[in-house]
Amino acid sequence: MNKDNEKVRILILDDEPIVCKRLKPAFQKAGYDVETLNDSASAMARIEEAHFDVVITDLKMEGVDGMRFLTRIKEISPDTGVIVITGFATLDTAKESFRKGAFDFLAKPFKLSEILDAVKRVEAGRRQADSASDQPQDDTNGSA
Amino acid sequence: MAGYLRSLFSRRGGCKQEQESPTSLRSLFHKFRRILELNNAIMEKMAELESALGGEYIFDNAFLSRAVRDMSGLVHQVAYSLNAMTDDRYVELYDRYEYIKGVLDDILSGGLGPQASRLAMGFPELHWENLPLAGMPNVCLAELLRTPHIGAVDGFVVTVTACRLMQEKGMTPKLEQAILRETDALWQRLGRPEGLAVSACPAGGSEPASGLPAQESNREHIVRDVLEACRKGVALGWRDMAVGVRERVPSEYWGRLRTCCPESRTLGAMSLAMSGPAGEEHYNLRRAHPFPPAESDIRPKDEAVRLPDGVKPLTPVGGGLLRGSGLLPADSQRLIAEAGIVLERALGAPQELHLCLDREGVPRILDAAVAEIVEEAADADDLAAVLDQAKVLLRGGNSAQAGAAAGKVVHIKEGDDPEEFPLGAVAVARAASPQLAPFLLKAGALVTELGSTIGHLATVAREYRIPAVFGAAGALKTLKPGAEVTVDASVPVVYAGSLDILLSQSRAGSELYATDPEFTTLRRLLQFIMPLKLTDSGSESFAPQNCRSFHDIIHFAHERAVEELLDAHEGGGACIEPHRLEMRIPLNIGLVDAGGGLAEDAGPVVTRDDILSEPMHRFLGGLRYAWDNRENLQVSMRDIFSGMQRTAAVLQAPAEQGMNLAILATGYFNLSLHMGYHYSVVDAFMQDNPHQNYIYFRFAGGFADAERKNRRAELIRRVLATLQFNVEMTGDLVTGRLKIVDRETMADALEQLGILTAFTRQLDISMGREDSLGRMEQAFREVAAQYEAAKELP
Repeated sequence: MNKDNEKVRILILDDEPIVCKRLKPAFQKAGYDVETLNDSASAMARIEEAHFDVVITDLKMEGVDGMRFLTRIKEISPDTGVIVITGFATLDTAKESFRKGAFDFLAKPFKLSEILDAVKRVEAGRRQADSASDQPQDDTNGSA
Repeated sequence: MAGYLRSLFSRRGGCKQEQESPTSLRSLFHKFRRILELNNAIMEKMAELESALGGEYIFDNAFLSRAVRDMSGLVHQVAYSLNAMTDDRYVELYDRYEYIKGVLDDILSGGLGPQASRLAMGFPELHWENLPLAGMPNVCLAELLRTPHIGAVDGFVVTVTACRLMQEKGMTPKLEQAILRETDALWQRLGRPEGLAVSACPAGGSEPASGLPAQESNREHIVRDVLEACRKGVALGWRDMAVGVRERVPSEYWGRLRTCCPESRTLGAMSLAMSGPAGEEHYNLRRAHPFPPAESDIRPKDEAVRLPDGVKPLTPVGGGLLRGSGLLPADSQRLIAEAGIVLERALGAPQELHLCLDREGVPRILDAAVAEIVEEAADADDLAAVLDQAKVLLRGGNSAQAGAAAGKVVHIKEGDDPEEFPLGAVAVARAASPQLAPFLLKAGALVTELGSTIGHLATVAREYRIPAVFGAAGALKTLKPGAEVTVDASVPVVYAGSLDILLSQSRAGSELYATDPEFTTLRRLLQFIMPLKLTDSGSESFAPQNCRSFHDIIHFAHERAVEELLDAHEGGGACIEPHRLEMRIPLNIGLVDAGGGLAEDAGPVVTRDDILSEPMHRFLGGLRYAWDNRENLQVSMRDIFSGMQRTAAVLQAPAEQGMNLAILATGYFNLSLHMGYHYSVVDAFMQDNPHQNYIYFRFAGGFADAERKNRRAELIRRVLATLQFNVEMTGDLVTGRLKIVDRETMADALEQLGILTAFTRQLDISMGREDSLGRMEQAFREVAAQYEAAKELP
């Protein structure tokens, strides 16, 4: 991500069209490459064929629910930052999301600035991880 | 009003019965506190819904359903708690609750709302929330009619309900009667129109749609022609439709404005085309006020031809200038562009307007609807490149209404004339005062240095969908008058110059648009949640059956709960012995502690130091200062107080000898104060969460003649307005509401209300001349300033 100045790729999955309709231009304006989907089956297929740096997903949907979707993304792409958005936020669902590897959990309604901030934190975390991995792993290879 | 005074005066008698058991007293206080808590929780939810309308939050239909369900549950508990306090004296409140909840549920399920039974409605009655009942073109024209200087045609709509009836039963007598009644009303509004135009449009769904071409009609044949228009809609397979009946404007010149023109070479330009006997013309107008043409296609014309305004080409128009040969003078182009921008901003989608020029050459908007143009968001890379290069003048603040607009900066303040504000300009002000609301009818965007995004001005900004940023520090200094700027309220940020690509992008951006079903639903829901119409608890109309919104219900319940607690003092129910407040001010104040308002060891007589309720403490601080320092104040102030003392005996009303009662609790107080023949009520809740904070102030009565009383009322109005209250005046009754502000603002406002209360004590005696109003206002400001200075002393 960002290594070759490529845009950060985001997939947004929410069965309420208004959420995708509003998030897409907001992330595009902020310089991200965004795809949106309204059904979880299509999203499930999409993550099998393409890599996304960030996935934003609703929890409660027809078909494959967000929790299963989250599990699958982390299996396919452990480094993808997953942000869970839900209108039915409980402490239990938040805990379970984090246990399954979610990066952040936002209850609807949320501010646009909050989700933009969450994505920036995913980016920052990834940059930090990348620079750590670029460092010499072993003192013997490092400079004095 | 008289009833309220009587009811308050009747309380002054002292306890007639033995004190009831502590259990029932505790129960009464418990229920009162419960109402307070519920009201505050409801106010917080209302604030959340209002913010959602401004585009600050991402939400979905599930959120709306849940918010309404939660709020309904709380409002029901308010009605229950009040009835539990009053032996079921207000059971009608349940009926109103059920009615309003039913309306909200109907809106959530996509119903037509409480006006669904209306068969015909005049344009002056139509608002955005009537979209499903009246259809897009009719509501657009109705909204344009309310916009100053834009010449939209008047008319009425035969509603979706009526059209359903026509499809089922044809023209019924009831329907015919409704159409004729609205036709007569239209005739009265227009005087002598030259005819009517009838057009059906699809409605009832969420999708915008334009109507069929209008057919000429007249008063005699209107019923027949409405039926015919409905049949045409049926033939097109429309399931639901409305029929608009509008004024027909005879014209030789017809035109079309598209607020979005993808084929234009000028980015983001509007396209305006006109044609008539003198030829055809086309203009691409820029999107920033005053909407100058970026490109024009004006053909040369014969010098003898008469242009639409009756003038020949190249006629001298003064100042050594000639008329030119364009069909539309710049003013007309601007008016048409304004109409398009007003609708585009309200609906968040490109507009197509059909218009004509009347016999005087004045543009008249005949039809409006969302344009069927697929507009992609500006290329993200292009946008990013432009924003990278753009000069940021100001960053920060809170978005009260998302969106972007460009225009020239104009600094405004209370007292400025909104008429002189240039349409489309960017208004910049120190504070988000409710008194600035009239400017929003004309502003392209609003930026303030101070203010709450959920206060009254923010509500108005959302109503008109004016991009608005509140709390942008340094705005007045940074944004110089006359500078061209672009405000992106969604971020929020203000750029130098007019950034066309950002304006273009904002029309396909992340904002919540009026064409989004969630927006329409939310706006319609709020009409039955937010408005507070039941404000005068002394009037006969202050009754459960007149509650029109959830806000009315909780306000009614709160007022009656306060009265119930105060009435307990009289001995009708649980007898309360108030603590007597000892102060140097000659006001007999009794304190009733509903929990946490007084120190635990407070005795029958208490001082201000025993008061733990912070809002009451603050209020008394201001009151005591103004009283203690009455001799040390400026000359003007000494005059006032000496005048008061001379007339004190005259003004002493019988009621003055009774007790003024206050109910206190943690972070709350309600004080009914009687001074001479006038009285005031202060009701305030104050804590750390700004969404729950409010002050409600009411002032009325007086001994002096109507003229003096009105001057005093005007003085109070001006002071409250300066304190950011939303103020209403009915005769000499002044009501002011301040809500959703931080703790510090609450504290300042309460101290100033204390000063104002001491200041206005029998003030009408000193206000014998018109010029005394300004003198008194100045005197008040001096006292308030001295108090602030005194606070800062060690």
